[in-house]
Amino acid sequence: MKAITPTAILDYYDGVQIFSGRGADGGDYVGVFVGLVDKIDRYLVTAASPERLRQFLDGKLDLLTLLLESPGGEWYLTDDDGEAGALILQPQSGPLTDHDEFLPLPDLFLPGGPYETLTEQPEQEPAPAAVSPA
Amino acid sequence: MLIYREPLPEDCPPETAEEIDHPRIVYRRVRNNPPTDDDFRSQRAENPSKKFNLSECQARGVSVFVEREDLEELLKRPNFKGGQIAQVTLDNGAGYIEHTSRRNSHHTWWPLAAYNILAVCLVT
Repeated sequence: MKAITPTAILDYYDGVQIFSGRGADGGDYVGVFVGLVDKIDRYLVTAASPERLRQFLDGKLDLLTLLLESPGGEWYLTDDDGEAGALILQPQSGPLTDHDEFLPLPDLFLPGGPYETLTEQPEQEPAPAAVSPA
Repeated sequence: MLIYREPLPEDCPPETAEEIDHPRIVYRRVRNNPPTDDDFRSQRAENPSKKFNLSECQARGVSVFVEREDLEELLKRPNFKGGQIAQVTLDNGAGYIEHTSRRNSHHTWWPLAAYNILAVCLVT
């Protein structure tokens, strides 16, 4: 079973859309939210070479190319969250290009700039009632 | 006491959020045309039991962009392909808003319950 730990939010809209992560082997990974698959929120995850990931972060490589040029061509869907914020990866069979529903459109470049490093947030109980701002 | 569209935790919106007291345009991805209340639910409302790797306050806000071009880029993502863009006019009484990205015009909006969103939004 392979697991990765998200390390930075690269894109956010109603939740984390794209993140970078680190595997137990020290390798770099990138994940993109693909929505509900089998009733579970899933991310498509592939390995990324450090150089290509850097190019993506710098806005010089688009996400589709980064995903399809994954070293080894392996790709994964996340399972339920693991412990301590880790994501469990389920290896998928067949070429990723056969799954257009999981792929972004071409020319999706990240804007340049700093990225939000992920830090574990303290768990908060659901608020029982609306409150006014401080 | 201000009544928000969704229950919020303490100290939410944050002190750094801005009270909306003058007209402004924002853009949001919607599934329906015309938009419905479901198009303005927070991710917490969509996933009541999910653990988020971010603050509960942000999870209970609604994502919007100030720049339409930023939202057009969003529609290239797999989960948003084929989405529609709604223009929303925020004005006095809309709630609080905060710029929550250092790279684009993403804002988090905490709407007040009394603000009639559907009356001020239009798919464009």
